[in-house]
Amino acid sequence: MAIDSRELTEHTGPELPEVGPMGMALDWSWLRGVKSEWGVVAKPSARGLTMMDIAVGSYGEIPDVAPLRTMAPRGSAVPEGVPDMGYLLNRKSDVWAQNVSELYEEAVARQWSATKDIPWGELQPLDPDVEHAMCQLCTLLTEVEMIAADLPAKWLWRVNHDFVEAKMFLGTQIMDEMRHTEVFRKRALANGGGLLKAGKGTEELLRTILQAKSFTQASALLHLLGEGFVLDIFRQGELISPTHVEKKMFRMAMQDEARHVAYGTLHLRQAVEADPDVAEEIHEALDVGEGVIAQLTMQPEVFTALAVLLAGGTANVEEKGFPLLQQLMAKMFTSYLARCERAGINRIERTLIPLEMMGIDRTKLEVA
Amino acid sequence: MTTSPATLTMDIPVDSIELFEALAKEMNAHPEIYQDLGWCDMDIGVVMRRDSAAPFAVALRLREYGCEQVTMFEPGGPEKLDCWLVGDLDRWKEMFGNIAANGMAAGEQTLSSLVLLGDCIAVKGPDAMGVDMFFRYNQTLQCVFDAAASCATARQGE
Repeated sequence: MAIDSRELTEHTGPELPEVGPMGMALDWSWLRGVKSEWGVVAKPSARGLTMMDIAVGSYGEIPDVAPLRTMAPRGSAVPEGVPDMGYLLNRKSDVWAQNVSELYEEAVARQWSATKDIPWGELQPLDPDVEHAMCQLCTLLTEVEMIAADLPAKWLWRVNHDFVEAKMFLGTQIMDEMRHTEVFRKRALANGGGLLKAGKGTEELLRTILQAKSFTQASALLHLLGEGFVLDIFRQGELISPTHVEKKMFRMAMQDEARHVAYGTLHLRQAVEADPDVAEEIHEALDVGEGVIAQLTMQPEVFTALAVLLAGGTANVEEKGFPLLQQLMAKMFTSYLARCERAGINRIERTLIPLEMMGIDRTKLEVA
Repeated sequence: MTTSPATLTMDIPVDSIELFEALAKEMNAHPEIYQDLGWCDMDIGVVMRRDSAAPFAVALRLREYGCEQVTMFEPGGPEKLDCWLVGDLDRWKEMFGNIAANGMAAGEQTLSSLVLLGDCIAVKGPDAMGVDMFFRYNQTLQCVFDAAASCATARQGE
């Protein structure tokens, strides 16, 4: 909002000098005239002063369309002639999610350290096949996790500063994903196995996500599809972990990933509600993304490593590993379709994932 | 005649509000554990289907680093919960028995595993955000349930 000189309050205090000691004209408008919400007090809640607590008065009003493209804090008085930052995402529906402030605070409260919160010293020598499988999975996860940092980082500077809470949340996501990259790289190296085979299919998926044309398409590919699948892998951490060390690693990462998926799901819902035509854009992105992720999940090095971990070794991989993995994959795709529904995108009829091949009866899909 | 070795068993019936009150008490007695994990605001229900009785259903009101309230509720009633976990009483007994024996849930008896397999215990909720909370606060929830180990006593197996 530009300063409106007609709103200047009457100067009631002592006369203020108009010229400074070195002869420059002085500006006292911040003291006497700015249209601020003087007297509006943000009160801390039990856990401190949260972003929700400071969303008071006009400061809590998020514009549907940002009136300016500056870095001026929302709610401040913006002088005429401030530079245009060239932001591209200027509509609330471009980036917002109704839960974004809560998710930001939650992210800050639930940060953890890959250095000290995982009991690395308690790792035990494992059966070599299981160690190989864990290292192969960690290679994949190290490869894919950074996309969820790179992608928000790519878009972050294009987001209008009026949606600062969304920018702050995306900042936490970047930090979370750095930590995931760190923890899986550390696990690969901490027990003598090391990094194994990177994937061509993996790289194709990452490129598809990174090259999305809009943030909303990118969010659909990243939060809904990519992170949704990774979240399900982390959930499987309970079954694939050979020791409590890996269990903790997956459990901590799962909480972070669930936040990202929660943001994406409600962001997409907000985008579709604001403009139903956006749904088709999201569908188009997912048409491509689903094909790529279906290939990725069937990629031999991914499939076999997960199956060995589920079987607890290579001996029972056919009897136990493959059937269990097939069952879990069906759940992964079912969860993904349910998330799409929650986001306001019905993919049940349109999905290109071979549901029947995976034993999923699409007529019986239940939205959780 | 030989006797089986001493095992840890739950001292309080699984389908009783006393157990969940004890879990709440444990949680409130150890804020340092939960502060490390980060705050948790959610209302979660636990529903145990029983063969010969109405389901046992209890709700935990988790706020900050503690549990503010434990109440019984009627499944399908007006209780406003973020999500609830539903399973047969036997599955819950198995889970709590595992916690009692190991000091914490082990193997396939963690909440996340049980929900993942789906045929054991299911997570349900009225909307997307509620169900997501189960995963977002999973470490906290697991700690709350693992505290059942402190309600266990050593007993000679029969």
